[in-house]
Amino acid sequence: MELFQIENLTFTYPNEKLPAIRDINLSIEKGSFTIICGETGCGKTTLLKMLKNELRPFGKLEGEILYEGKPLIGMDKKKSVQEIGFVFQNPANQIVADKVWNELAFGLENLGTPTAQIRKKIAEMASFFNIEDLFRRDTASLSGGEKQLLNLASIMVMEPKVLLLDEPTAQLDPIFRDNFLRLLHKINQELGTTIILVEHHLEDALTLADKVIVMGFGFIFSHDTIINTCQLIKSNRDKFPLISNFPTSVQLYNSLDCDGECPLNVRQGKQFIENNFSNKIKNLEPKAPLLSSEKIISLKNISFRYSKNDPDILDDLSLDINKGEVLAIVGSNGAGKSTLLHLIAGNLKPYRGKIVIQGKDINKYKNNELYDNNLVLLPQNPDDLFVFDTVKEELLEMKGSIPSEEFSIRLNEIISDLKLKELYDKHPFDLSGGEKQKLALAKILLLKPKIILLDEPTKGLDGIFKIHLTEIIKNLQRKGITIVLVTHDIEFSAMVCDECALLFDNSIINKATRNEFFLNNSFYTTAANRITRDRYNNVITVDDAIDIIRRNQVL
Amino acid sequence: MRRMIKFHPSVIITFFICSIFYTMYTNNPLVMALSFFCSLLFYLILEEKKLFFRHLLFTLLIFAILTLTNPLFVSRGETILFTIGKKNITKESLAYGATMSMMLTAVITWFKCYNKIMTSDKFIYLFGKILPNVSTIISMGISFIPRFIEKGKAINLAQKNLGLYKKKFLNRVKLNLRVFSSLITWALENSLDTADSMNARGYGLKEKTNFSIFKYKISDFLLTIIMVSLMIFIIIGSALKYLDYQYYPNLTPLNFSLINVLLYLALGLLMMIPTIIEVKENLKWNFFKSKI
Repeated sequence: MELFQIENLTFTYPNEKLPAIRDINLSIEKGSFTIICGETGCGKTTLLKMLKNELRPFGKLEGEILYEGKPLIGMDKKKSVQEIGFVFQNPANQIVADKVWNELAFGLENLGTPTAQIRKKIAEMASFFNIEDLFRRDTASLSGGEKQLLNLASIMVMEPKVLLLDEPTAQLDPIFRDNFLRLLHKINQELGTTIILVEHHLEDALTLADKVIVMGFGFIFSHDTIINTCQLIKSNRDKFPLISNFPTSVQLYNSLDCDGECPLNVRQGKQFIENNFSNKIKNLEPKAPLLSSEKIISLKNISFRYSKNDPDILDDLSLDINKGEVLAIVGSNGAGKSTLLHLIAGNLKPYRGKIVIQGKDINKYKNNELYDNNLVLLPQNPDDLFVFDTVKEELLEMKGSIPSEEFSIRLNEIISDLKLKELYDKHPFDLSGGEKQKLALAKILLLKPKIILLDEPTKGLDGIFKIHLTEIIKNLQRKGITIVLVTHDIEFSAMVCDECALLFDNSIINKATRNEFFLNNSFYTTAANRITRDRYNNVITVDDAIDIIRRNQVL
Repeated sequence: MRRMIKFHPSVIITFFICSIFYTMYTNNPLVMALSFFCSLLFYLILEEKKLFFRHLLFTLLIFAILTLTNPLFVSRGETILFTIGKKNITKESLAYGATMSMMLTAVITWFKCYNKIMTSDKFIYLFGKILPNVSTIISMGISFIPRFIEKGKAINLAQKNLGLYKKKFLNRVKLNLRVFSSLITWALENSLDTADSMNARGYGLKEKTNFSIFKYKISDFLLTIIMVSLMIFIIIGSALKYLDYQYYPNLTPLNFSLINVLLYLALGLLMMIPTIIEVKENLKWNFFKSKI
């Protein structure tokens, strides 16, 4: 039985020549779990919003959308509010009320549910979601992950028949993302709710779904089971840069000349390689790291806490950063990674220990010397850097006291490096996540820094942009800039870094070159390494794995 | 252990309206002293020790300053205590100053207690009974303020780290203006999301109900009856001018007739209610503990 039936749907935004989505024919089964994926701007969010009357954007709509066999447009408002739930990307923006219980009741109140029933339903959902301990808290005091959980719960109390989710995990940390996706799975399995999820972090989500819809340029490219979708992508390899969003095992399958069923996780990936490839050539030559021995930043026995009565965030931490290297600092949520960056940037002061930057104590830098052609911090949220109405003004602002000619040379170089020209007249807030990140980088690069600190540069961004960002960072490194980044993203840090440090228990417990770090860890390492470690040596990235496996191709 | 906070919001608001209203209405020094004393006692129970003593210090300071200032400006009254220059310092104006400063500090302390007990959700609940939509907006505002401040700090820090702004005054002003305009843009952008989320959950449909987690219990009813009867007794008493007091030209002597004593007792009891409840609760727990 179909829940949604879409026929020849084409939608054009006002003042746009080309339709955002076109000729969509789609049917969604009741009780199914569907993932919609595709590159940024391919129309996946537009398609999702077509399915919710209250959110459908203005514009020209052709074709028909049926919900349970009847036209969706013009459906009774109360019914559509109650039966079709929608969760947005940004956790904080969706929250209306100041108390958790108040937020949970919001939808039911609007539907006119009697208060005795509201009490019962809220209690049920709070225990299903295991958020009873949050019940009386202020919504403002919740973490991002908790907020998104609350958003999901406050939709679920209305007992919707279908849940539409627009990249709900993009802003979440890996552990919360995992948790959130598991919950979706549980909702689908135990409550039978139909789920349509727009997502680009396919690593975790893919195996939960029954069907995958792949979109591109406003079209639906395929709508099939995961295995079939992977096969289809493989046979149309060149058309899909999207593959970098898929799990490592799928990426391997995609690049190797071998048929058979697509492996979806590490275990299946191992079997796939064992069954299809020999391991006569075991060793991949490790790439020698380029390390200078000159220290550019050095932290000595740093301790830090936010106030007297708080516990230590960092305790007796020492770290040396070499000139010209890319250092990735990894660690779990709340380990103090961002705090460490803000200490190096001089925004926070340690209560014990010493920070030396370019051979000079950080406290001896007066006024803006620390930031002048020296050190910049790109905050976790690039929006914070933007204060003007266009990209152009944003960039010209950085001129400061630089002579005009020199500035325009710098500007042109950066614009062509980062391909910002076509965005020149846009409002910074209208850019996509990746474009914002690039604009923020451009702004700080105009300062000609020698050290760049990046705080979670891949947060909310897809695999395609990660590859692009890796190139940008490598390019900066070639210009002699030292880069320190903190991230949750193991795969990304493996692609980009020379050295890697693990922050744990308020201190750096393991700092090593990229090879040592990823080849010796068994959990804190890449999926490519985990898939191949039994058969091959020195594999870190997907490209490494493809390289060595291809050499072992049985002909 | 807090008991008072668990009463129904209507009971709590009734208590504060009674005590704050009467403190502001009367000028009887004994009533004022009672209110002053009871408010501090209740605040002592509610607040952390350190913050309480800070408040006490502040209160006594205000008390001293205001008490001494009144006679310096007002020379009414017939009993001259001493003269400073050509200014007569009278007993009456000193007494009036003391009473008024007690009123001010008592009201401040009552409001501090109010803030501790009457959390925003309780206020919104009561308000929502009268104007449901306004209460939603207030609730949104309350949850938005911390986010707004946090974002302001983040933008400010990000701009500072660009090192564009020198320590000159003009530069500072320019920076702050930019941060502010960026903050407004951010708020508007995000409010679009919030509006979507509200629409998606049916905001504006007819027949809205108003849910709350507050239950009206028998104890709420009993406490309301006690407070209201005490208050009616007090209002009748003051309407019959039993509690009237004059400062100028001479201080009225305090009257301790039976009805007066009963009125003072009623007032004392009314204002002590929360303290009594808390102390009783504490004793009960101590008793339980000793049994275990």
